[in-house]
Amino acid sequence: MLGFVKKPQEQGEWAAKTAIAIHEGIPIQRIPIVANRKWEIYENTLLMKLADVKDIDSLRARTKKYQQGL
Amino acid sequence: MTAGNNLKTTSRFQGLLFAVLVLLGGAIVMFADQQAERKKFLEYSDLVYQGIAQRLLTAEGAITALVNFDHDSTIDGNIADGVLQDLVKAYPYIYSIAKLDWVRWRDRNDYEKHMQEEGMAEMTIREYDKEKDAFVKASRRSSYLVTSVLIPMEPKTSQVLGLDLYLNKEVEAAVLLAMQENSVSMIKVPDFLTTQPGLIMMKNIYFGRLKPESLQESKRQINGAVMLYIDQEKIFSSFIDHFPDITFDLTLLDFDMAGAKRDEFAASHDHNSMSLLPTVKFTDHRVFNVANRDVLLELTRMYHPGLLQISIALAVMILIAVLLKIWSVSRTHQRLAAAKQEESFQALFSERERAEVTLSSIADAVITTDNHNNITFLNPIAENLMAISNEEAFGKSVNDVVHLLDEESQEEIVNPLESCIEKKIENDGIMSSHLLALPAGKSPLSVDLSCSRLKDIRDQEMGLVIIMRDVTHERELKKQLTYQASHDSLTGLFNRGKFEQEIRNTIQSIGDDSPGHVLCYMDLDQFKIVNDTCGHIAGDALLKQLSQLLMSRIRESDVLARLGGDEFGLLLRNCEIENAVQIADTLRLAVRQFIFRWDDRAFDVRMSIGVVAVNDPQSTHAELMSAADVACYIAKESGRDYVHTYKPDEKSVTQHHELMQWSQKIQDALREDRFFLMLQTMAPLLSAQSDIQVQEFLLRMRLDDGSIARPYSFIPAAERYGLMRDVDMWVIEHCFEIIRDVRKDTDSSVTYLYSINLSGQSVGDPQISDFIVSKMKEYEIDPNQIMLEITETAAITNYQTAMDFISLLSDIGCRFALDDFGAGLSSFGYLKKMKVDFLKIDGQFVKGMAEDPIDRMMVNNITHLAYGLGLFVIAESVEDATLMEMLRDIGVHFAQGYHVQRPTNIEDWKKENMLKTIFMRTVH
Repeated sequence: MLGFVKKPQEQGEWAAKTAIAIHEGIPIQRIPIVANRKWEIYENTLLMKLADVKDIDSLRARTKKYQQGL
Repeated sequence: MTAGNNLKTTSRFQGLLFAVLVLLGGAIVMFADQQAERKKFLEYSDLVYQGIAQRLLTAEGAITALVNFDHDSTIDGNIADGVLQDLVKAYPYIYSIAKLDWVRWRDRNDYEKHMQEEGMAEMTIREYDKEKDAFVKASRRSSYLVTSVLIPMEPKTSQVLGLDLYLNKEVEAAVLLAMQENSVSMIKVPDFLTTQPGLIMMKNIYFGRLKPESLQESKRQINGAVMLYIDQEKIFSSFIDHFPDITFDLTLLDFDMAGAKRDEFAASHDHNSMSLLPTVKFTDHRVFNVANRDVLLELTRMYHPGLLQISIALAVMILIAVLLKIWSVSRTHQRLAAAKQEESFQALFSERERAEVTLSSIADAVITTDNHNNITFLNPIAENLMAISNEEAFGKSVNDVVHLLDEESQEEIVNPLESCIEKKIENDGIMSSHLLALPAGKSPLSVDLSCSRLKDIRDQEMGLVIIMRDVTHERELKKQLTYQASHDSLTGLFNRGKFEQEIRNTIQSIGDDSPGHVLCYMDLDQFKIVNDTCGHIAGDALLKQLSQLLMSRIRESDVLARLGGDEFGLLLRNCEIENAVQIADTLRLAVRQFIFRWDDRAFDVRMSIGVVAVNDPQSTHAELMSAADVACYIAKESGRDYVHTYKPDEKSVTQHHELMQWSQKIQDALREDRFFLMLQTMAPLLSAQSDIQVQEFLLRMRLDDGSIARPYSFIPAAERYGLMRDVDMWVIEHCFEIIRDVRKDTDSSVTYLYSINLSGQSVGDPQISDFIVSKMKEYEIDPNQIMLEITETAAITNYQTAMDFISLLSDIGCRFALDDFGAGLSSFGYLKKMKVDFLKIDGQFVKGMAEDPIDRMMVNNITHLAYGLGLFVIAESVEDATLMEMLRDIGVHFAQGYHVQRPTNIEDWKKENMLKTIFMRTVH
């Protein structure tokens, strides 16, 4: 019903900014390896409906609606 | 010191003062501008201060909210990340938000493992090694405050992840302060984190919802902290954009751990003192409390006045300078005017003093009046003249004080001042004269009066100045002088000048209806006898008596005058010529009947009268006097004691006129040097005189037409009109000059004798004898070479004086010749007494002796007589050889005439004489 999908763009942006930071003199070893921190939440409205899950207000604004696959 | 020097000194001080004032004016303008700018700066500063404080308070509020948020849901995960990113976006000066975890030593490994599982693969707790300037694995400590979340997450900032900040003393202090105060604390961003200036605001997170009540509880409950990184540049960014020339600085003051929490912002201003320099630095310090820290906000502005401000200041300075200059000039003018006024006052005072002293000292009476002719001043002379004092006269009308009479008419002059002023204007400033002043109680005085109007500086009349001079004495003297100038002092009659004036007046009065007038010229006969025999006193007495006699016989309208010597003039007005002749004859008879007695001697007096009619208005007094003189002369020539009426066509008159013309020619010749001399030789006839050379100087006159006049033409005129002395003096001097000039060319073996003719008038004239002697000395003439010829008639007429004259000059060596001997037929007795050396036989005897035996006998007898007296004989007019031989036979010593030599001019004679001398010297 809910899908947390990582954003691939985040990795590209991170790589580019890392390059800039190194270019600005930040030692490489100081730049840590970090996990993705940005993702998108997909809400399968059909499944939610079938499961009789009411709308969750906190999610409504943040989720994207997924209706395919049925 | 003079006023000018004072002015100069004052001017120097004034210039200095002006310079100070001008500079002060400029400074005030600059100061006012600075004040305005400063005020504006402080207003800006207020805005900045409020804005900064508000932003920091906002950040403080935000961090409190974040801590509360963390209690509700841990700041982690995607949702929190989104919220925090929104926060950073809303507040650009919040650079990043970090969450720090409080990790104890015993939990370290678990924590690191947990974090690795969370995605931070290499996660270990690190710390900043200051010596290595690197992040190194954290050493063992009791607790760590590790950065676990950083938003926004950037590679550049991500290095703080896993970094222990508690090792940093400031962070430690902030944590402790936050614990103590249970609030937000704030520190500067440590240098090892970033070089970018900024602040870290942090608030502790505790386990549980209850706030720890003590520090110990806080230390046990602490779970971590939330930090906000505040970018200092960005916090000022909007203000920098608005106030680009203001420099901002934010400083955290030292911790005051023991201090109480400051609830209010404390703000302070450092008011910079103003500067007179164009560039000034404005500084404002504000201290306020945020997050338990005293924050110092410092704003600085360097103010450079713009071109406009400088221009205004300069304009104000110029304006002040101009105003001061105007004031100075005006002031200087005022002072100069005051000084000039003072000088004028002094000069006026001095002038008044001088005028008063002068008026008191001068000999003229001075009276001044006001516009109403009332007296305002009398000087001492005026007081004396008017017989009234200045005090008495003051205020009285001048017409009541000054009474004047016309001297001629003896009538009182009404309004004498007005009359005087009018007269003065008419006469161009000449004083009114011929007045008699009538001072009270005194005899009248002759005065000259002058009136002038007094005018003030605006040319307004302010009265009169009356000047009176007592000229009584001068008038008396003038009358005497006038009388003496017109009267003969001896007889009291008019003199010649006055008489001629009367003649002129009479000529002018000739009219158609006038019967005519008559002029008589009267000359006494034999007056000289009285003078010579009884002396001049007797002569004067005679003239006085005769004057009275004549005056008693003429009418009142007639004019009698003494013309000089024994000559009188009579002008018979309104009298026909026939009546005049009768009157003249009456006078002649009266004089004839008059017997002059002196020292028991009686003299008969006679008078010759020339009468001329005065009836031609074109005639002149000179012509009339001349005509009368001629008539009188003819009367004398007619036998004296005679009245002769002038007739222009009469022969004797014509001759006399000729004489008069000759007299004019003589005067012209003397003035124009038209006389010249010639020489004629007298040849020695006897061998005994062969070494004697006698030359006679002959006088000639060159006339206007080039012809030559001989002496017989002009000598009578010269004798008649008293010109002979001048002619003789001319002859003597020129003869001496010639003799001196030819001296060097003469033969020393020959005796030279130069004969000079003298007139009868000059013989006996002491002036002539003195002249001869002085000129002889001047021209170094040897008197022995000079022979003076005088006529027999002249010698006999003035016998005694001639004798004295001859005697005087003979004594010094001069020779004398008696000229024209025989023509006068004078007594030989005179000849015996005269000291003459030569006899010149008159030519009339010589010329006729060849035919006339009587002439021959005369020559013979005269020659023998001369021999008897030891005299040399010279024969004149020898015109042929026969006469020469006859004369030589008779024994005449020298012959003169055309046969011997014609008269020769001087130049020819000089040449001839020089040649002769050369010849004689050659022969010898």
